[in-house]
Amino acid sequence: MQDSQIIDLYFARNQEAIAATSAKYNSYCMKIAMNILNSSEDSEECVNDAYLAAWNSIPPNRPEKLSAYLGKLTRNLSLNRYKSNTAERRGGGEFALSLDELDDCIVDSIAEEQTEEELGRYISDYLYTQSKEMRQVFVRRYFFNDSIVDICEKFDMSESKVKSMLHRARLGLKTYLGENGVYI
Amino acid sequence: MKNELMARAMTHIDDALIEEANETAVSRKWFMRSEFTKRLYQYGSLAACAFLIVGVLLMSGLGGNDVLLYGESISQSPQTITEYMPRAVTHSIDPSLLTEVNLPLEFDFGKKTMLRLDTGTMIVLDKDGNTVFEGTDYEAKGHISVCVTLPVGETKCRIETNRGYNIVLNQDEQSGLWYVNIEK
Repeated sequence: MQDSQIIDLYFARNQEAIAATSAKYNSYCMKIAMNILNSSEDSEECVNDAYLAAWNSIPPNRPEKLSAYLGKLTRNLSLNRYKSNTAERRGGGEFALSLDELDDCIVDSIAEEQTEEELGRYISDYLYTQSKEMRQVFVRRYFFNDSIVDICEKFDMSESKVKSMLHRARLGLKTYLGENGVYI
Repeated sequence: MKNELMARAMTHIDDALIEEANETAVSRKWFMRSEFTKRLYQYGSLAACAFLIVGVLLMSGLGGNDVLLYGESISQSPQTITEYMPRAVTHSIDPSLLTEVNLPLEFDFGKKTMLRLDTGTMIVLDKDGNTVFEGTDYEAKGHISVCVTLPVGETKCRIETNRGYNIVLNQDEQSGLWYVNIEK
C-alpha cells in the first residue's frame, strides 16, 4: 500500500491504518528499536507505542515521508525506554558505543544552550555540506544506530573506511557547531 | 548527559536525510554485480552523457530556471529591474543623497548552490522578510529572496554560482536602469 493511502486511512480514522502501517513498517521500526534497546520485548512495546503515537498525531499531522515520521517516533520512544533501563543498570551494546562516539562532537560550554530541535537543525545543515556517502553513513550510525558491520555490508565498504568517515564526520560536526556558536 | 542530547538531536534531523540513508546501496551493489548489467551501465552511461550534452546545447539559450525576477525565470537576454530601492526613476529622490542601490532577485534552487558576489553585499531574506545572511558568499537551497546592495557608482555586478552560469547585473549609463541576465 502506498504511504498516501495509509495516511488517508488515518485521516478517515479507519483502524486499518495501524494494520497497514505494521504490515509495511514493522521490521523497519523494530530494527530501529532493537539497535537501541537490544531487547525484542522492549522493542516490540516501543514499536506498538509508536503506532499509537502515529494514530494520535495523524491527523492533524500529514507526514510527507511516513517512514521518516515513524522512524522518529520509534527512535524517540526507544531512547526514553533506554534511559529508564539504564537508570537501573549500566547498558551496553551498539547504542552505548554510538553514544560514546558522539562525545567527539560536543563543544563544551558552561550550560546546555541548545534544544534538541535546534541542534537537530544544525546537524542537518552540517550534513548537507558533506557528500551523500558521508551523510548516509552518518545517519545510519547515529539515527538508525546500525553497527559498523551492518553499515559496511549495506554500502559495500570496508570497516576502516566506515570508521574513518565517521571519525571525520564527528570532528567536522564539532568544528561546524563551534564555528556557529553552538554549545552543548 | 551531553551525548544523550546529541543522540536525541539526531531524532530531529531532516526527513530527507533519513530517506536518503534508507536508499539501498544494496540495490546499487546488486545492480553492479551482473557483468551484463555492468556493460549496460557502462555503455548506457555513455549514451546518457551524449544525450545530456546535446540537451544542454539545445537548452543553453533558455538560461537558468533557478533565478527569478518578479516570479519569472531570467535568461541570457537582459531584463530590466524596475522594482528596486531607491526608485530613482519613478520617485523624486535627489540622486546626490543616494549612497547605495538595492536590487531584488529570487532564487529557487533544487539543490545546494554556492553564490559568490564579486562586489557589493548580498542580503538574504527569509519568507517573512527577516535577514538571514549578509555577505558575499552564500550557500543557497530552496526558495530565497536576495537583495544585492551596491554602492552608487558601481555599474556592474556578477554573482558566480557553481551551477555553470553566473548572474550579471548591469546598469545602463544613459538611462540609469539596471538589467539582469544569465551569463554562461
